Amino acid sequence: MAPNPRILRRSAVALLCVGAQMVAALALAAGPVFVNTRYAKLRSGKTSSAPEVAKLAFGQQLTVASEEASFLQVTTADGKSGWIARQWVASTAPGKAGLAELLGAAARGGGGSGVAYTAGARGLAPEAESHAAGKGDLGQAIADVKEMERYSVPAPKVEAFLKDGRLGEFADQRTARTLRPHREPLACAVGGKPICFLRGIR
Amino acid sequence: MSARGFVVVLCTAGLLPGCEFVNVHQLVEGGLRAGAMQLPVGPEEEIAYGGAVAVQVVARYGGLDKTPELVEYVNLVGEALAIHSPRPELPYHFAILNTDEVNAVSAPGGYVFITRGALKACRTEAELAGILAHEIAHIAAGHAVKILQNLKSKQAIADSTGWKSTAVFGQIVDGFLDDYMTKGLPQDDEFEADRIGTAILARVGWAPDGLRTLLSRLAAGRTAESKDRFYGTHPDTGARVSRIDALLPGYKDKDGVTLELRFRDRTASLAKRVGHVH
Repeated sequence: MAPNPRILRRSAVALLCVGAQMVAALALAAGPVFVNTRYAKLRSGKTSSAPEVAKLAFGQQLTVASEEASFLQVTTADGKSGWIARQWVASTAPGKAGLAELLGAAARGGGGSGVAYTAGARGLAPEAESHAAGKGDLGQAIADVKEMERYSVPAPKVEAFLKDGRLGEFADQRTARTLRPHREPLACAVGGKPICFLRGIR
Repeated sequence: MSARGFVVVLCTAGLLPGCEFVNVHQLVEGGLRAGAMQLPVGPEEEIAYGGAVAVQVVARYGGLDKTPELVEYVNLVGEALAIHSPRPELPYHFAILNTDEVNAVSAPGGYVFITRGALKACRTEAELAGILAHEIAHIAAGHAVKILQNLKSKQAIADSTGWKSTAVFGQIVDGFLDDYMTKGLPQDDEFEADRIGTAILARVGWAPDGLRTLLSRLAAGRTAESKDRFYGTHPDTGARVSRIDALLPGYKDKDGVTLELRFRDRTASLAKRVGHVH
């Protein structure tokens, strides 16, 4: 019996997808990679508790030397060597590719075209304020948006928040006590007999 | 335009009722088909449009809830998501809308709003993160930007700064507000925001089913007498939950945390208000 062309096409697409992901994984190991956050730190070891060697800039290019679990061993252009959490790097420079990389497959859309870090650009644009001012009694709303834009949580506080929740690069500090099943309660037992049921230890 | 139509637009974590996606979808598809006719919308421009839209959002939702500990908490969760998002370079801003309506809204360029009602409806930090991740996903995927590009392409713009003209800027923003925002986003964009949002949740380390559990509970709480816009006019919650369910096996190797206790601690002031669902 002749093979079904539709099945053949689907199989070919599936193989291509798997192949592309394998290639992407290998490419990461070969380097270079790019820092995709302003929070990235180069650490002396492959854990989030290892001392900081240097701060890394958004978009900075790194060369990957090796991979270990959730950390990569990398070298900067000026010769500094250390480890960085895997989620802080992308295989392409910041931009539209981030979406595809997050999903592990090509995604449509892609947002704006800018790749420069723009978080320092705070303040309602004059065009926006002028437009709102022409719409009548929006003074309070304009003031509220300006206040919203001025509000900033310091980076160390965000980092402490992530660390407290064992989130982001600090996920490697989780223990059984910080995790719980999503739906089932965690049973505490002594001598094999359940004595209590706890929900949401963290 | 009613506040309700407005809401739909910027898209609530799908918590929007009464969305007529077809026209907007046609608008977007029309824009995409235009291909070479599309004018790009750069980051500065996107942020400027977003600011103008954000002012309208705040005005139509009765201002902001500025309770300090809640504002800080929402910003911490939002920033943690934003730095792990596909567009970490944007200047994200997070705020709480002063209404007990359950909803969340985003505007281009990084403006993300959650209503106090939605905050009250959450039971865990993962659920709060799920709503915000959905909104960040809309921004990261450029869903609103596609609409803006289409509107911009209808303007007679001579050069790359032509959008700054008061008349051109006004027509684009007003077109966005009056057309796109009254009709909502294409349904596919909502599903895509769920997919991207779930991926962001997993990347940060929250339980990937954060958005799913909230949507599921909201849908289950719907009664025939309910007048809430979410229950009354958003028909796709079940389909969204089903689609998220189909995604979750892909994250089975990701140990996510719900951080229920931290959520309770940080939102304790909400519990003292009437109607809190803790």
